[in-house]
Amino acid sequence: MSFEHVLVISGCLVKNGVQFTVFNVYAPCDSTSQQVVWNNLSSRLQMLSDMNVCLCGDFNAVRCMEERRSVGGVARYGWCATYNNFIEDNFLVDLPLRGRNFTWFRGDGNSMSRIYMFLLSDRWCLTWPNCFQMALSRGVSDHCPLELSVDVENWGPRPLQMLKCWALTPGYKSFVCNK
Amino acid sequence: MKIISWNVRGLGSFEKRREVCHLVREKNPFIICIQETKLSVIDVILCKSMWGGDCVDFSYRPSVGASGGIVTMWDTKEVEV
Repeated sequence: MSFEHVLVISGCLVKNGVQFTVFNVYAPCDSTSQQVVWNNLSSRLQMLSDMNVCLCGDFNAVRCMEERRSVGGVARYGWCATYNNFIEDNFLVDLPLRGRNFTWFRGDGNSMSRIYMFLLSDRWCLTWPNCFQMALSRGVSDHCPLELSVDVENWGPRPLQMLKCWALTPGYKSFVCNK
Repeated sequence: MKIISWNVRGLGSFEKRREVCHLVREKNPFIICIQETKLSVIDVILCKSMWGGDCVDFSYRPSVGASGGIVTMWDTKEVEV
């Protein structure tokens, strides 16, 4: 399925049959056309509530002033607000970016922004709780490739909490050994 | 499950296609989403050459003139669409 500026695929994982939908978005630059895309996306997303949904691509918008750096212009506050409203109204999650602070760089090295990201539904984050988004090295484009990785197996070591005073309790050592 | 998203700024040149090929080989994604292909037609031969194998399927929206264009490719061994 596709509509203007957006390509949608719905499917499932061969391994376990978990269903998901991925939106590939290439949003226009001007705010009026962007609003049309946000509205179209919102109506599709409402039909997919409580599903594993991932939006990715070039949104041509930033969430706050800090996400855009340029020589002449500044991020227009109104644009951030409409983009944020879209994200919040649809309960989408924007994971912290690893690897770099920005995902787009102009050749002069002075302009950069984070117009490029993954947005995930609540359900997606519950299905794959330890996802992360990582900006890779830039190569031949002025945009960094972004990677969304779901490492189900790697939870890291299990956290352990103890109070030092427990060790003073008689029989503590043998209790721990027996457990 | 791994997804890669990239605005390539045109898939016409050999260098860009080779870069996609490297990315696929290095990262082994289940799905790759590419924006700004600047191509009006994307065929199975192009996708297989970028994927570096036959186990790939794809869906795309053509560019409008010389701008835009998006393609999503996925590993048919891992994902059923």
